[in-house]
Amino acid sequence: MSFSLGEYQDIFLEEADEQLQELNSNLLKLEKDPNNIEIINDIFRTAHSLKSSAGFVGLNELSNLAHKMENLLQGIRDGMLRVTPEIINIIFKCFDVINSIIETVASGEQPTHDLSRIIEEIQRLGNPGQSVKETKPVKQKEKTPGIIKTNVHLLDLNDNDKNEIFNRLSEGGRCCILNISIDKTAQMKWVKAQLILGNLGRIGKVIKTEPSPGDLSDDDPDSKMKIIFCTDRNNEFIKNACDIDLINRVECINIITSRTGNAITLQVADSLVFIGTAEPSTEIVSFPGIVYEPVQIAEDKALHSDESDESDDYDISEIQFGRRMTDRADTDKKKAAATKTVKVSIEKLDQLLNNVGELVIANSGFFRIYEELRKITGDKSIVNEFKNRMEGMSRIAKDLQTGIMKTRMVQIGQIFNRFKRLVRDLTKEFKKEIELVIKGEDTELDKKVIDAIGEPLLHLIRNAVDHGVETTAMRKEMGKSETAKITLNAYQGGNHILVEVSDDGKGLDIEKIKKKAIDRGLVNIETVANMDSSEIFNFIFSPGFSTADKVTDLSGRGVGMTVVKQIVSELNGAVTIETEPGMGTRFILTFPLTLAIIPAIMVRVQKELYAIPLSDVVETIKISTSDITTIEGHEVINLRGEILSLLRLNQFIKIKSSLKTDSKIPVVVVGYGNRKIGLIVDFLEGKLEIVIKSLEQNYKTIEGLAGASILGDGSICLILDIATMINKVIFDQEKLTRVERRQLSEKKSNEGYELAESSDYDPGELSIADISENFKSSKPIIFDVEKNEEKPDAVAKEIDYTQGPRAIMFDEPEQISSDKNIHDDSLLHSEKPPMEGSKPQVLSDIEINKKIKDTLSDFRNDLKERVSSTLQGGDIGDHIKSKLNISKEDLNEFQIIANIGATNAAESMSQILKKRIELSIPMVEIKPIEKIPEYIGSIESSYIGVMMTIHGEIKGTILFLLNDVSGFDMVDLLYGTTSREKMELDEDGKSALSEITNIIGSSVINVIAEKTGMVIKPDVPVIVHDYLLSIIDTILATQSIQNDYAIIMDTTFFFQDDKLIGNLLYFPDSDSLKTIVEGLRANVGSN
Amino acid sequence: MDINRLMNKQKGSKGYTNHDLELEKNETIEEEPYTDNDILQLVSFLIDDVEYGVDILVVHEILKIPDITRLPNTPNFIKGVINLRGNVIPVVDARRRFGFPDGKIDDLTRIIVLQNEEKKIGLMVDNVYQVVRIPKVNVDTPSELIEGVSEEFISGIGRLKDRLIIILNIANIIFLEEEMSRMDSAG
Repeated sequence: MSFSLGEYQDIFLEEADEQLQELNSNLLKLEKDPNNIEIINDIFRTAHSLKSSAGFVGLNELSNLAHKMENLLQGIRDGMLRVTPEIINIIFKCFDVINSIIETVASGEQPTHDLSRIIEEIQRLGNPGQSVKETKPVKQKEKTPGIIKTNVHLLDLNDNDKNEIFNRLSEGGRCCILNISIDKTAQMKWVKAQLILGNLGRIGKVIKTEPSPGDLSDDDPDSKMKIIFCTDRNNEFIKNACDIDLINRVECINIITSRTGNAITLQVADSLVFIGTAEPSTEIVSFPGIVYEPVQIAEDKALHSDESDESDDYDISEIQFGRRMTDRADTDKKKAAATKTVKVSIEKLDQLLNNVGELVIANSGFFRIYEELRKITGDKSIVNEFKNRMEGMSRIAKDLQTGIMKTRMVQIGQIFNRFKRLVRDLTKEFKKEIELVIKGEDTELDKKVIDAIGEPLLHLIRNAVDHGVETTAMRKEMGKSETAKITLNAYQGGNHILVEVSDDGKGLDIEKIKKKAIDRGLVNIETVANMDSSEIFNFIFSPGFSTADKVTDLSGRGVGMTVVKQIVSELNGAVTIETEPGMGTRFILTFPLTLAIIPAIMVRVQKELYAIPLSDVVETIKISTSDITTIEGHEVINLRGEILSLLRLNQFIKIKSSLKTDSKIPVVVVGYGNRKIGLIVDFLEGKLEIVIKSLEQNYKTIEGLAGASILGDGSICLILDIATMINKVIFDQEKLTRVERRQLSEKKSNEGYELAESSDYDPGELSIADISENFKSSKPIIFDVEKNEEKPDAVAKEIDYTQGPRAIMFDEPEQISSDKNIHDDSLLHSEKPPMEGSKPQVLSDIEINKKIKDTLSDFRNDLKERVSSTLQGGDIGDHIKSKLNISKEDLNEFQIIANIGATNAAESMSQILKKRIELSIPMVEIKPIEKIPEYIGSIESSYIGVMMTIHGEIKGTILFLLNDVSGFDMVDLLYGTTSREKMELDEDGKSALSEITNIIGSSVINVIAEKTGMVIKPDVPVIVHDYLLSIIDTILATQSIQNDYAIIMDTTFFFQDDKLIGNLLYFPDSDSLKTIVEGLRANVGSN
Repeated sequence: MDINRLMNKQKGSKGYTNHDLELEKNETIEEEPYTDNDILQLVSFLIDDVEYGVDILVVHEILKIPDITRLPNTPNFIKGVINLRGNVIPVVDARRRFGFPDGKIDDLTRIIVLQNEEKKIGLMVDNVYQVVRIPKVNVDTPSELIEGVSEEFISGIGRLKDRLIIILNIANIIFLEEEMSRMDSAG
């Protein structure tokens, strides 16, 4: 049977948890600052509300304990008790007990905690305070001599109780003292007492019990109990409540209030015996006095109002009452603040988020309608009005989306603060001096992460205390400060939240870990020798791995770190370890910013779009077919000296690739754990923030898919599960025998994937000449395009780029160019005889290209027309190319040069700036000058152009063109300036840009020079910040360039997470382009 | 709503003449003595020109063919997933599921979204035909004579004058579907 507190259970549990956290943290503060009345008040207030809410849900024991605790605190607050370590400890103990009760309730069981001992302890600690209090009432002996004095301490009422009674009475309730005698022969008297208290609790509120039920000893012949009890029921109820077996006598004495001036007096009134004889025994006579104490104080005050010094002593009741009132005001204020937050379940938020997402998608439909309207309506004002409204709505929807997203975020401070207590306890236990430093409490994390992060942090902190930090003596010996420091820190870094647990202890012992790993058979000696330290440290996450010499009750069993790793991985996070022997260890947990939305790289195979979570992506590269080597049936490339296994995404998802034979192959390098693979895709579409939806919800888990996401246009894209893909590759590699591998590679070629064969290819000696040669001689991959295009999946999603707002960051220029390339190829090949030595391939190329061209849908043409709108019958670039006798191969040559140049440039820039910079020159195009502004961007917007004149055998101008926003951004990124704000280039900015141009330009020039064997000299760069046309005019005018074309190289800068796009243009003078081409051809030919 | 429109649309279509519909109307009147508890309401649809039906209570909605995203590494009868107002729902191609040759997707092709317990699943059929009411007494247990669809998927045969409606057991389709795909992936 599960135990429940009814409908309020959840609220109570959550509240109680928060209250306990607050209590814990306040008490820690109090420990440091024992005299701070504010803190005491805070603790008092929280304890009080905990007591009330516990009482409300019927956890009377808990309420009672909280009440006792409150009494103790009251004593402190009134200055009757001093804050001693004992008191702090007992209160901490109380918290633990309360916490344990709450947890029991939360797990659905009835709490059966024995609270008597702790209550006893509280009373023991609380009593000295009360005896202090007693000293004054002695003066009232004359009034009720003898009797009061002896009994006062038996049933003392603190001010809080008095106030409670008063409040109850003034609200029309009644309050009475119940004197209960339990039969001598009764066994387990405290159970009887508990039963009565339980019964009473149901009909009213027990203010005070003396002695507490737990203190009733079976051996004590004189088993009497006094209960002060408030209720609004009549005597009959009270009688029934107390009427249980072996109760000899129950006497009820009513309490009433009276008011004298400002003083409020509680008085005993009539008494009634419910059970047993009416004849009052001697003991009973004394009882009125018990309650009488406060009453007397007040009465006394009334009587002796002229005796100022005495009244000072006695008006506690009144003062307390006043203070109580202020307390209430405080609580009310607090309540008002509390109502400003609402607790909402994550499910509801997710539902809301879903709906808003749908709203955004639904709204995008209006854009289509708008386009239609615009075409058919002559009334512009209505259309514009429609557009404005539509855009307004879309903005609101977006705001809503982000708003809801933010509601999931919770500050990490509440988790961090829990550990203060833990560290305090651990410090005492281990007799180490440790200070817990907390930073970045206000860093916000997804609620799901917050809920789960507690456990891993707990393990890490325990480890730090137990193993990380040395003993005080040892620290002293080593010359470290005696107090060790454990730091909890949280901060945002890019798209991740980093949570750090660091200590300044002894650090991880790498040799010990190695030894243990070998001992446990996790790894052999040879492998270990080749592993770097981070790989070795990762062993500590293996189950059962522990380097601890002895197992303590805290740690050492080797479970903790496994749990850490597991939980963090479940949250898409990662753990890294940094350690320095003797200096300390730092564990860094990395979590994605939010679990609801993840950034992803969008890739395409044919028309199918897939998302790869950015957290799994290491980098994206472009390779050529010749870079691929086949080792034992597996395609690999040499990536900066590292062998990287390749997996063709199209094979994984079982469709044909639409990759062209001679184009650069986009590869997404993905990593999971220590493994990396390269994923070959058809296109890289860009970065996108996506919302993960599970496939399991309506279907089941599918191998290789982490879920699905709904894009802005309502279409579904699937999210790849990199972990399983990598595992699959590893599994395949391990499973296949040599024979099977050969069979596989044969089968592959039969299927139509002709793998590049380059057994003599030595990755170690890759030079520019090699690349170009390989490029020339490599066999193009022939894809069965015909089959593939013939059977278009009628329902397969075709991403319609022409309609609606685009959710996909789509690299338009690249797409245009690749379209054009297809177009160009067929054009070129049909006009010109194919290059020697590659006849069959080129023929099939033409066929393929024709096929592709035929099946190109209209939107592609639309896009193409945007570039060459005025020209008919082909692209002007083609005319220039054919006029200059420049073939596609030559352009490819240029592209290689540009790529090599860019790589060099990126390298030198990274070195100079000490920052990781990647840049690429993805596309090289020849364009007529008048078409350049159109190609590059807008005529109206201003650009930053850096011109660099070149002399020598090749003349012309190299222009590095940046949209001014990107330009300023880049300068700011590189030099930390703020030119973006001013939109003005200062001297630093100018020199920065000149330098960049210098680097990129010279890199390209150097490669050209090297490949053509010509002498080229660059001049000092000049910067122009103007409209695009003016910049170009300046070049044409100053350099008197006669040619009407330029070579455009699209440059993309990847600077950390930012992506900036610039264009590198070369305006060749007179016949320079021809010279270059001829030089290249001559050189390549001679090779 | 869709169904009503379809019914109108269907009136002229081949194989089912106005006469048939007349008959149906008459039957409905005849069936009046049956209480609701004795009547089975079916959404009837065509696969390869044979009429099938599913209990209307498991039908969530009927859609025209939306964009379907192919799901790689799934059994071939899984056509893909669709976006149903923010829910990602798998679509089963009924033809492939029941071993019929692939058909053309045209204006009449529909996806019947079925709800079974917590899961929603789309069943792609050639044509959603109408809603029929069949007295339970007219439903026979499946005989082995039914061609095409294997008997695991059939819960009964409904007789309606000269029409036979094969009643599909949707729970079983989803269940088997999971079961079989599990076997697929295991094998």
